Amino acid sequence: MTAEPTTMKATPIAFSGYPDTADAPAKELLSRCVHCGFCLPTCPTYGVLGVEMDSPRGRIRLMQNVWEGRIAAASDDFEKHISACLDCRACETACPSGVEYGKLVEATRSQIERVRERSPMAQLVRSFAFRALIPQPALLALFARVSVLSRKIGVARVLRLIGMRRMADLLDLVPDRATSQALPATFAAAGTRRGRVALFQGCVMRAAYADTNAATARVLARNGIEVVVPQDQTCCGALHAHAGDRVDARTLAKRNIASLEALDVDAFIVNAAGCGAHLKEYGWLLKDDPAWHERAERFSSRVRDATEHLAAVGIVARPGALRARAAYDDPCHLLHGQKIKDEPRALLGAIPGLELVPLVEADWCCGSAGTYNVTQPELSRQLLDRKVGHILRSGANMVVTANPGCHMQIAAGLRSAGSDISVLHVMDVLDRAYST
Amino acid sequence: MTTAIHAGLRGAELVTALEALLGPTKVLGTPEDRMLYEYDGAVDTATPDAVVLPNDTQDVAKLARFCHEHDVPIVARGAGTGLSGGAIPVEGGVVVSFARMARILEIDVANRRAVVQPGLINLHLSTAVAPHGLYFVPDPSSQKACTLGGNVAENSGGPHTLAYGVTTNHVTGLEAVLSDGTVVRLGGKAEDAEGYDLVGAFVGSEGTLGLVTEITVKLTPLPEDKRTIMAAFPSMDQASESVSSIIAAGIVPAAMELMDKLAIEAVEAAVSAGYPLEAEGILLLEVDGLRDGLDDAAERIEAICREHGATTLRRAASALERERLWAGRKGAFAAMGRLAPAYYVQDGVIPRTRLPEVLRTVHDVSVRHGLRIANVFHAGDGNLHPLVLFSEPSELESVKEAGLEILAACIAAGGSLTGEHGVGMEKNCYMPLQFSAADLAAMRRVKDAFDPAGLANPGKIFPTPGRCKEFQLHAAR
Amino acid sequence: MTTVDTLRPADAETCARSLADASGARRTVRVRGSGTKDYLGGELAPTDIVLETTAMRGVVAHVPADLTVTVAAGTTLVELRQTLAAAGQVLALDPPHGDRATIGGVVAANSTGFLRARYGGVRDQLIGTTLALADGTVAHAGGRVVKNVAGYDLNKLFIGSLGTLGVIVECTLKVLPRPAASAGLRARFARAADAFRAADGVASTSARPASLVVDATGRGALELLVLAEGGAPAVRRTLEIAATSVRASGSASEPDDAIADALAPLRELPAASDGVVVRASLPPAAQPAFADTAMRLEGFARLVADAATGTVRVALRGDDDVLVLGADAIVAAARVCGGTAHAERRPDSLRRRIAAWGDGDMPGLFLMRRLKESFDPNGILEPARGPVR
Repeated sequence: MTAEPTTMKATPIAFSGYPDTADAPAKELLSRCVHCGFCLPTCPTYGVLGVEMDSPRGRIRLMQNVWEGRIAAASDDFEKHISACLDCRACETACPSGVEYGKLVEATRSQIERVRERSPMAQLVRSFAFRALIPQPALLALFARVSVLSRKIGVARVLRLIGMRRMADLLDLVPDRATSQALPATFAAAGTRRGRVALFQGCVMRAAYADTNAATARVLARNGIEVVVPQDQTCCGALHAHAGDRVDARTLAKRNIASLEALDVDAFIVNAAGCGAHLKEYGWLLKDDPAWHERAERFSSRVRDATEHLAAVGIVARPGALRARAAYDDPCHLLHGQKIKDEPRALLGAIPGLELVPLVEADWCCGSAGTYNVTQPELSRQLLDRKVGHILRSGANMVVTANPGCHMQIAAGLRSAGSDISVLHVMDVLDRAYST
Repeated sequence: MTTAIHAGLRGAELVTALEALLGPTKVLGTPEDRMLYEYDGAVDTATPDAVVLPNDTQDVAKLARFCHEHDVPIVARGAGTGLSGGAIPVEGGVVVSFARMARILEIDVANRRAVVQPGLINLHLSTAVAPHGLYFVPDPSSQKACTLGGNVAENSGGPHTLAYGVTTNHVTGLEAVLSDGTVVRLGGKAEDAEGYDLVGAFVGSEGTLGLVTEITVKLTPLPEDKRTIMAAFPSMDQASESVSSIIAAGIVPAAMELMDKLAIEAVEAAVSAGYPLEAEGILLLEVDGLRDGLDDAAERIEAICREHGATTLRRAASALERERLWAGRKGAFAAMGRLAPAYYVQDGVIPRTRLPEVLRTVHDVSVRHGLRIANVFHAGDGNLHPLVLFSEPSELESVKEAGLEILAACIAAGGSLTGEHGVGMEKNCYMPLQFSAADLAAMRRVKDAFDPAGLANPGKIFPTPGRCKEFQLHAAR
Repeated sequence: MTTVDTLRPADAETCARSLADASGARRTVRVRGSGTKDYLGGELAPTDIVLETTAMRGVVAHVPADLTVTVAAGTTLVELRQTLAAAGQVLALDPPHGDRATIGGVVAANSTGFLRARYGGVRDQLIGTTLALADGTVAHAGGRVVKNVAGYDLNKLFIGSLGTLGVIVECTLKVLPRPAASAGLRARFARAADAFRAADGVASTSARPASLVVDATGRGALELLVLAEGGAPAVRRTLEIAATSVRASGSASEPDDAIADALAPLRELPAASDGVVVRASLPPAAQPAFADTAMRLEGFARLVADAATGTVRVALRGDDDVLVLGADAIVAAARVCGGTAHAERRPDSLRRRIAAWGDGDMPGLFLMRRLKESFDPNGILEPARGPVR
């Protein structure tokens, strides 16, 4: 027991270096960090960069140093290390003191957004992506289809040739089978009805993986759960919050709460881990808004990941056999954000013939991390290469995950490695098993 | 003299010189960056003048030669999980982070040895050699994060070192860079080196003799099986007496961990390990090795616990149940958050048989200072870890005072200031409580032989006139 | 030449004062316990003073349930064992000369036997020492608790230092309850490779035999001796594992409950008064190749290996040239195998020709020299005997 954390905070917090103290990383949360260092080996950026500034403990110290006026919130250094964070929250799983790092880093990013000047072009792109594209399923789907087409006709190669690598990388991410057919309003429960849920569709899921949404509904229905698909739902706002855009994140949250809270369902089912983790934190996001806080808490308490809900109510319909060697890669926001680890594995384990092979560093981020593959392409690529290497060595012929970002990223990585290993969502796999 | 305050090259000038020497990618010199190397897992802080991230031994040697020429202290850092300030540059100078020297250089299955770099994480070694049926014995609670270099520096232990020894019993060879830049290779894969046991002197020297750049360790065959037992007692005395009786009966369990009521409460609230809440003390025991005789040993342990009044006895029936029982112990420190926002962990050792009386002293200290103190510790080797709970920074003085009183009780009982966390800068002022001037002078001879310039992690282990003056005044009072 | 003074200080302070006086007067000192191991180390040049530790004797503290014992250095192993036996305990060290050796001598010589396989050697069991130093001070290292990281581990430096750094006046050691059961087996092999493979088949499991010894008396004549200690079921199973391993290496084993009696003479190999004994410490897997080399040498008499730890002793017999060449060859072979070796015993007449510490280029020698100069600035302690001259 050589190194168990010592708690002792001797340095007084002098004055605030944040522009908006109400929305800054909370001192109470920061002070829970006892700098024991247990988070270091779980942090992908520390793993790659090996410096304290790019570790969770270091970033927390940076946040404290801003409070204490030792460094400026607007400084390049601060922005650099905070934005290099994947927000994968692996450190939260490792933390013996229960530091809620995700909340801290998102709060910090919101502060950086306020104090840092961005170029007009960057502003425009951000504003287009966050306000116009992501929350508009039809537009996003169109964008995806155009992207697929562009890739098919070799635009990525051209972009690369003319030096627009980032754009080309982005195109590479878009899945081949981008579809966006609308789902029916209701999926009736097969057999005795055991419950009723609402499916939260998610923007990226709807644009890129509408099939998976349908599969999720079918699998639940097959197990006696009636699924309703509310049409009046919008983007969860996770990407906005991760990027520090709390104003928009809050607006989107309120819209979702208002349009969904009255539904008579047992749970709001999400199959995108990133959305799920964020929806479960609406209460925190709106904690300082007296008009909304309680409603948000109530809403969040009803959010369930699809695997979480299905495992909890139990599988009643026996899946058919699937011959596959599957490696399950934990989405960070499922494993670390929602502490869901065993459920997806148990569901996959219920499929006859499917062999679950161990995947080294399954609990590590693949480098997708919301918009990370766009904002930090170098680091993202290194993490992806590492992930792909582990997958190739695992002997699996199928990678299973539960989040669209990971799905796209891993698929793109495997594609560029020349591998034909397929990538599927847990719900896709179950749906296939039910169709055999 | 090693107590000299070094006044060589510092500041921006030093950073520039180091960048020229090693290349800019290996040097951190901005205030923003340096501020993040001023802490470790303990309390004290000090900002380095520069941080160097070497790629190999040559980098370290080059750096040390430079520092020697320019009178700059040099302080090694692994993962910065230490609990005695070992990685804190208390006299400034260069912090050497071994984050980029973290490889396993060789797994020698036939000889049951591994050769590793100092930045390697302890658990990564055991994970890497597990497919060969081997493991590295020392398992500090920080083993998921702490490095082998740090383990060597601190002579780390862990719950499972009771039967199999601590780091020093598992290191056969070292490559080290002395503070003047000399590279020495001591020992190797064989158990004994020729001449004086320099490896033995180096292990546990807390970075004050030089910087370890390569380590050869023994690997041990994984036990065939284990039995894990939880025993609950109506009093801590009965639990402690069971510990002595088990040992006296000829059983040396692989682990023997004790928790008091306050700890049990916190653990149950946090992880619900299934410990009975009405118990005053819980003993967690593990026997391992060949399958044969484990049930036998487990039954004898249970019988002894029963004789000493154990009210509940539970033997883990599955790996899952074992994990659950251990989850309580492993999560115990973290679970203290349920009881108070902050705690200060002490580390003292006493002879096993003195457990009951020293635990009573700990209780008295708690009452006298009005501070709650939980006990979660390695009972098998008498290694106490009292956790002093507190809420406000203003309580710090009294918390430290309580810690010191507990240490004094340990020493009075014939024990030691530290069993595994090290002296560092946390307890160097307390060293005279345990060691006479002659004892310390003998240690100083070793320091002077390895590091005559006194540049290797200065201000650690030995009392320093500056920082310890206050303590001496205090002790005199 | 002045007459030799023999001093027998009765306590640590007197001992330290004698050393300080000697140091001040530049008078050289030999440190002895009961004098069983004069053959160890470099040259045994006459000294002005012989300091015997035998008057510092007796068990200082023994709390059985703490599993530790503190004992004055001049106490004999026999005496200590009697005290421990009364409490049902043992010291898990079985060095040569166990009938006369003192504890201080065992520590100063880093004397090991065959129990090291399971229980470790002196360095694993010594937890505290009291030292009388050449400056007249009495220093304590370590302590009386089994886990302790306060300050440097000076114990380690004094183990095997042969009195060259100071005089060990008191030791605290770990002790163990007497094992409930013990049993053994032996098996014969024609090839070193097979004998050591059979041994490794036990060492690579979690069986932890008490002793795992390979005894070679000539080419084609090797024997594996296994001693198991502990609870009866584990002892039984350990011997099963050993028997299986022996079979897998192409031989057959027979149980031998008097295995301890068979091990006793092997342990005393360095005590034999004729020929040369080289002690090697090898990476365990290097033992078969090393043994093959040793067995082919002219003058080879016997090889006894603690196969679990790679501690191998080779005895040679023959005329002076055979001994000198043989000892050199064995030391060289050990180094080639990645190990170390030194001449442990040789006839007094060859003490100069066969160096105890190799050819003086051992790693870290400059550090040893600084340590020696630091602890014994006037060079009075065993001036020609240690690794530093």
